[in-house]
Amino acid sequence: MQAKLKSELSIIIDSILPLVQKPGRYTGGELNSIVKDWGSIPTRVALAFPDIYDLGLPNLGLAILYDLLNKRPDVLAERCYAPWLDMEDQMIKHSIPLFSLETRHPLSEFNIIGFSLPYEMLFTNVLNMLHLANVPLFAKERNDLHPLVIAGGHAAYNPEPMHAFFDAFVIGEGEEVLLEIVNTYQAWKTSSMNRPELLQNLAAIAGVYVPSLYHVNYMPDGRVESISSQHPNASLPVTKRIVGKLPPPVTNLIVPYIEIVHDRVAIEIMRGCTRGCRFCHAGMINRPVRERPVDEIMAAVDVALKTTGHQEVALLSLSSSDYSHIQELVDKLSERYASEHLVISLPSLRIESFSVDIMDRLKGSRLGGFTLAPEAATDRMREIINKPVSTEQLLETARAIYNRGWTTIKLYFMIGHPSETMEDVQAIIDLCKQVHQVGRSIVGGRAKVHAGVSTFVPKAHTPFQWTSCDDPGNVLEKQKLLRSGLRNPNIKLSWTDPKDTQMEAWLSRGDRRLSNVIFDAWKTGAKFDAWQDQDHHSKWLAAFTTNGLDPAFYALRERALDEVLPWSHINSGVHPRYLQTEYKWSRKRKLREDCREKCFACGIMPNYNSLYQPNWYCPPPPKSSWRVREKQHESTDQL
Amino acid sequence: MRVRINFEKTEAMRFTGHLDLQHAWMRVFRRAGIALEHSQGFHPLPKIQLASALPLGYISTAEILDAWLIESQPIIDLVKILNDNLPPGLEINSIEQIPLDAPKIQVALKTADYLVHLSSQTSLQNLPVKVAAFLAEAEILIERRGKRRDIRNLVELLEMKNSSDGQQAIYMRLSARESATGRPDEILIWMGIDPFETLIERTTLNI
Repeated sequence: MQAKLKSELSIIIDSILPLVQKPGRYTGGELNSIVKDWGSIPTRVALAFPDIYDLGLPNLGLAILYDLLNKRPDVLAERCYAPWLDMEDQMIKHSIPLFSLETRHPLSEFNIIGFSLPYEMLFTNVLNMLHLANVPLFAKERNDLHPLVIAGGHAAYNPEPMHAFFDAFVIGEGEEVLLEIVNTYQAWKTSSMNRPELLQNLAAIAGVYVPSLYHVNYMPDGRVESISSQHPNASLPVTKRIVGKLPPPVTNLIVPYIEIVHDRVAIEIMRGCTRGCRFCHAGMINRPVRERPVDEIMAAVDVALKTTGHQEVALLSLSSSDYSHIQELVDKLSERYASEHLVISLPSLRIESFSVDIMDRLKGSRLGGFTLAPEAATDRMREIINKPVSTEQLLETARAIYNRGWTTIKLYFMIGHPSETMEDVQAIIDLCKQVHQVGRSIVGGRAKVHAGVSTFVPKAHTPFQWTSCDDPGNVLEKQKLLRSGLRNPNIKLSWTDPKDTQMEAWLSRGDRRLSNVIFDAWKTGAKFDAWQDQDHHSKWLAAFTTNGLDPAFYALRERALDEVLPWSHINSGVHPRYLQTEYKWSRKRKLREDCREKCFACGIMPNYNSLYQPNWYCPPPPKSSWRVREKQHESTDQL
Repeated sequence: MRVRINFEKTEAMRFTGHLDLQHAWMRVFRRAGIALEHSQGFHPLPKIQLASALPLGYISTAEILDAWLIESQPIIDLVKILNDNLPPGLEINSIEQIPLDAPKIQVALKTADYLVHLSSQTSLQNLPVKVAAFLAEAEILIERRGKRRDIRNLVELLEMKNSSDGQQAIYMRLSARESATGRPDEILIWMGIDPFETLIERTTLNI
């Protein structure tokens, strides 16, 4: 009977696929996807990505977990992405529940649904997917028969806005902890324990946050008064998990039937960044820096190219130039694949002529342009954000780029940094023009500059977590200035809609009360909030009003340094006192050096002393002194 | 060495479009470790040519791809190594070596045969009448991308046929020249059949 039902669902799915755009998003069966025997495997995990297939498939985090889970004989992992609006309509019309791509089983029939939460704008899609899966949205409404619904990823470092919808969050890197969650689940499944007991057992795993086991008290003005644990297993704080040594890269990457955002092999060469840019969420939460050996990367590239047939390899990291063997790696790769038309892309290069040498060595296409991210255009602002790249250095790098045959330079800036003035914005205009002038003098009329100017959003666990997001009115003025200042057919300007920035700002530093706002926004139709063509701003504002909350409280309020932040029970590994010092230094325009050579005791070593590996960028200190510091932290970490 | 590969495109591959199919074949060759000739210029592309675009959602048991290999090798080895590296939904029927100066496959192509598998919802009763009515017309003008076109002269054959599973199907042979390409769905619509209620299979490309 069961099998018959499945085939019926599959037949209906097949019948609607010709009616939707890009049906290849929903077929499954791609090369290197793993289809296991549903009936004979005890633990079934659905890995869900709350955006469309085209964006979700290249996500390396999910690929890693898919690989790890499926390596276990007692577990199967299948994928699910958010259906685009046309597919959703067809699914509703034909009563098709959200299904997995591998075996087309309804998500509700899995034991565990694990969502990836890379950024906040996807929150409503999570609700929409749970709804399409016929799984109760609120964790408290789910019983023993429902799947365990968990989440992880960068946006989970402040889990509070989504606390009501997930049974548990993974804080940090999932490679080890997800397997521990599966073990705990399996032990529970074969016991006679109830669902609350499962959650309590999960909370005992380091790095797992079970929101229902904590209580938050608010002050009358809406600020958090205290966060308390309601169960001995619910630790305060929950400290993020990391892997001391990065496991070998995934090489059997799934090859889609249709063109997606990145058709390429992605290999992570390094995790973390030592630069310490104060606005950067990824730079703070991904510490410590861990490198992969060149030989391991070479071997992985080789296998991955053979198993996928891709023509492009992307070497991923937060700052590729800082990978200590970058020259050796690039030399070896370009030598090894010299005759094979392989494209090697290296994102996030530093602004220095060495980067141009490296890109030149790769002999890649010049068509896409060369990307640099100065982020700010005045020395004052560079000191505030701790990204000291002088104008001279930028222009020199631009000169080298145009000299080597590129005609387009992409420059990424941010407006809305703390204490930014119109002069700082005008400097962005001037700098773009200067770079374009450099280009004109070298390649003449073909010289182009693309200026991508996004708006800064303060993020939890960064030195700017206390600061206010720039007022939308200011942002509009600044964008107006940029548009009028950069009226040049050879300088292309792109910017972020202030409404999108506001939404991201509410959710990034939100508290538990936002769960109901997210629910109401979704209920009234908000989804795919990251998509330019989906404007749900008024629905969000209405949802705030319904819940008696003020969006400005979340986005436009400077927090006192002693305020209990809604995420203060989550320990990112970097100590809040270090973040405070960074915040104070930024106000004094004081720069913090790259921590590669010198340790500034951000908190990583005392937190992860036992996992230390020689390939970390953290200098190995005498162990005894760390033990002492560890003790000090213990005594000051109490909330 | 220039080879002509006759292949099937079925299963989930039916939702892979023309350009994506080209990419899929490029990856097959790369996985197989068979180096292809590349075009000259700033952005060199592997030299492969597909005979004719198959509309999204159709399956085919007879697609044709020409590929220019840098190194010659026995066809029998080629069949094996390519077969080992195909994605689900692609299957090779045959490979033959053809002269380097043979005409472009898109130019050589004359007609294409289609078998339209009808779903249970389609009423078979009036079908022979509709087929006869279509053939009886001297000219059938429809609008395609804003242009008036005669689809009657694109049809060489149109008849009822039993498919391999014993079900009634419609068989058609349509012009497949570069400037005059017949589309099965336009003929079905003229006969009052919803193309989405059928499964269309291309069975032969006639050179």
